[in-house]
Amino acid sequence: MTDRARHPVLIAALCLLLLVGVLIAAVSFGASGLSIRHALWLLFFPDASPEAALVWDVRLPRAVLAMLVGANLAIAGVLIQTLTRNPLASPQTFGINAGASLAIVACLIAFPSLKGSGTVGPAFAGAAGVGLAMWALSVSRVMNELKLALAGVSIQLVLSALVQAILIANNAAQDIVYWLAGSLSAAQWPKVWLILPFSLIGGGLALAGARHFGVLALDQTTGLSLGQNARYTGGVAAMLVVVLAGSAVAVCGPIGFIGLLVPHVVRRLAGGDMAVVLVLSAIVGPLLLGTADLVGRIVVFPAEMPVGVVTALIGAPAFLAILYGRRAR
Amino acid sequence: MKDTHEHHEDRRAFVVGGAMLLLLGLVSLFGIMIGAVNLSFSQVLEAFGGGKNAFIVTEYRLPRVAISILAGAAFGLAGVFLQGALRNPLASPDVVGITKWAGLGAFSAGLLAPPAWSAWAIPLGVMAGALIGAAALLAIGRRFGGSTTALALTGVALGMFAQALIQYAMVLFPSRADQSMVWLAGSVYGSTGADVAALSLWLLLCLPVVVIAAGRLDAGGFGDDTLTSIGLAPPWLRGGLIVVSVLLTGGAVAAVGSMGFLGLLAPHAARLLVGPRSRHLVPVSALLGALALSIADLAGRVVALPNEIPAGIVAAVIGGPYLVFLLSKEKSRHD
Amino acid sequence: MSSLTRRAFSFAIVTAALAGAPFAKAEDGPRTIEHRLGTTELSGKPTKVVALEFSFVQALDALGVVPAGIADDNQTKRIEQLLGKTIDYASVGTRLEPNLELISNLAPDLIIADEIRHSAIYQQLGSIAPTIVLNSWEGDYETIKTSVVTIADALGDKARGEQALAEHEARIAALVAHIPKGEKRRILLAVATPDSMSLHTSASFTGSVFKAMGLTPAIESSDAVESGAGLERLVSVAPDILLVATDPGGTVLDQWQDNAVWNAIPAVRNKMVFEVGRNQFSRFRGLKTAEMIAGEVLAKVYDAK
Repeated sequence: MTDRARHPVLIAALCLLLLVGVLIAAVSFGASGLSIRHALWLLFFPDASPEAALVWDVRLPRAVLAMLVGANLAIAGVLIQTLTRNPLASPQTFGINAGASLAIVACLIAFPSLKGSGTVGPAFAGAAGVGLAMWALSVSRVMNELKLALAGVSIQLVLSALVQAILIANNAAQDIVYWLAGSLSAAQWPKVWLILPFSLIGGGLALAGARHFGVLALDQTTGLSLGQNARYTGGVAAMLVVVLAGSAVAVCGPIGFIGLLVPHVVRRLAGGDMAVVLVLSAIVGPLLLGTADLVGRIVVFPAEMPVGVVTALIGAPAFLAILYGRRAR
Repeated sequence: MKDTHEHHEDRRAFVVGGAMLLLLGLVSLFGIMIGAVNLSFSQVLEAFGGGKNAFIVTEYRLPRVAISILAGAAFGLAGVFLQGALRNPLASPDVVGITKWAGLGAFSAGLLAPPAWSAWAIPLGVMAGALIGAAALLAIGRRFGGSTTALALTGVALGMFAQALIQYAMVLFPSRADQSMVWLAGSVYGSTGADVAALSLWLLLCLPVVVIAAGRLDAGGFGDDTLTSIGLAPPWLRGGLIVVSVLLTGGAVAAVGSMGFLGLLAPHAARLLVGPRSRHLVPVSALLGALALSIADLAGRVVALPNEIPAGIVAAVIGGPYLVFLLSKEKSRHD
Repeated sequence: MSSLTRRAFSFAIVTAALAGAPFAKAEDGPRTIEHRLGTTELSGKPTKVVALEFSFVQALDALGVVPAGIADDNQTKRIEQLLGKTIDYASVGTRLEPNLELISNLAPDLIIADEIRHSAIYQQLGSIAPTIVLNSWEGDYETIKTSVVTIADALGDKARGEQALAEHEARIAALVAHIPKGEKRRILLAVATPDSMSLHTSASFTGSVFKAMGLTPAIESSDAVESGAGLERLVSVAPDILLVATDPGGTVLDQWQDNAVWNAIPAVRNKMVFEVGRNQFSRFRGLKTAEMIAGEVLAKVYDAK
């Protein structure tokens, strides 16, 4: 037991250290010809120069946004996998990202003047619509895990088709492809302020309720005896998933694999204790997304690869590796 | 007792199949009669002899109707074999990523080959993509010990990989994003007689393996131990079924784009209607796939005149809620 | 082609057109039109024409032909804006998937289609009516100019196309004369989308119009559009003159203007940032659009009328 308790702290410290490294790298690297040393200098000693503004108003908000979105998606992933007792569940595979995207795309087309914070409302509504449907299906016990996952995938298919339909009908695909792939390139401080409260409240509530959510992770027969209480906890968890994933989609589009992958990675690193998994996910998620964004900015320099593409290209093989690891154990 | 039960099932399948055929005939007839220009039955008959409406009937609507039936049936069959191979209702050519790899192949061919070559370069790319995806699926799946769930999960991951590359291609060439989206959604718009001939030929070539696969499909439902005990090698059986599924999917995707939903939907509905025995399930799945795509195309052509809604989108929009309904229905059936 | 030879070339066309036009014999005999997907045989003077892209509508207008059908995406207003007047035509659906039934019903005698969007339906279009396929969607200025002559040839009046081109070049030359000698500032058209900008390079239609005007596009590239550009990319491109094409309603421009880095762009410091209409600057392509672009650049950048 003591052995287990020490490991997570060590791992968390290590990941935090890496996270700081990624943050510094993200701030010092960019398309304009600013030297890495100069950029770092400006990060700690800003002046009134345009270069300082570049570091502080373009690169830093982007790095911070990557951290927040990564944390949101990772925590949402942990919660949804717990809630549905399904290792394949994630905001992406259960259609919650797609629900938020659909609502945002529909609103952007219908009300082009909608900007910035205006997308959060629709995102929540869309995410909540799908989340509610999935939760109702999961609570009603009409379906087993497999069928539930199938329902999630089918909902995701339908919603993506609707997004495509709207874009095709309005000739708007070329404007939105970047956002649709999941991209951080439009990051600015206002977007950070937009998502920050949801990250703090959502993450905080998830941590506070970790013990209760842990109960949900037990198998169905045990959970059944807990009755009403388990349903209530499940409802709270579902709401948190909606808030965390919805706000993430609102600021940077549907980014996949973070929510699917991080819980698996963390559980492998530090076992199954809910509180530990949540805390570590809030560190590993940002680490993964921050790294992916950095990679996307470097590989096709000076152009950018959307971070959603990078997470999928890294995430798919990593997911296979996890599968392989599970088999070995 | 058992015999009469079986007899009852046969009769049920026969009735369902007959009804489907009738419905398919009706939908196809409507498909030829209505559209942006509505034609009466006699006008349609006249058009076969030439005249003003000859183009609309013989060169525009007829190939569309034919390709909807063929591609829909191919998707339905592909779904049945894949679900049988993986013993998993989640499996469909779309979910395990085969359509996505086919799509990636098409994109690569479309980007690398000049537009004038696209007529043959894209189908070639589709087949190459689908086969590469399936080969990767089987190769990686085998290393995981060949369990069906692991195989399905491998497919999901591989599909997402291909999807990401497709998305990147769309980001690189945003001016073609609209077109790409239509193709990704799946559309029978602009099908020609040559397309119909090509797909018919392909399906005809696939027919022998389809028949063999249908004969082995019931065995796919057994566990690996049972299979070994009755003298079938599980990896070969499952691998074979998957390859047949890939061949069918590849042909259909080359004809109508990476439509994903039918392979998931048709086998499900068929299983509810006629039960899990392959000699009922296989033909009814094919019919249902054909019917679903035909209805989707007809609806997509007439609801937003003069614009068209790609059939794949209509299929997903009608089919999605229906699938969720089916899923909840299935539970009560088994109680 | 250097700008000197290009000028010589256009001069040659002008003289040829002026000299040849009065004596041009009627060219309505059988003729073969070369286009992007091969050759098409035509005879007589087609009058019922279906245009499947905006630029073709503008070309037809320049040649005095009103199209019978247009793939107008069901936005009649755009056609009005495109031509600056209202014309009587039938909509044949979207440019992406034009409705072949409606086209067939119009019984046209010429169809003009786009290479990128309509290659797949070329055969079917061909069995409705003689079809020529040109590059509009990804066409630069030279391509669009050549297309006007090709379309004129298809209509059985090549001389009129050459004349229209010559008149157009004369109008452009008159506008360009207002640009001071030795202009070295780099100009960029950025199209604002909901959360990023698409930067139009020297290979885009607008970029090649800038070039033809003797201006320097800020990005020299063989890819027409660099999409998904963030603020940092825009700063590193550092255009001296920036045109931002926007649709009505909010775009990323509003957000970026509040960022301190925005002021690091030379165009912002020099007060050389102008908002322009997205339809005119990035959706339409044609001779008239080129004149409009040139005119607007002169009015905004050089205060010329």
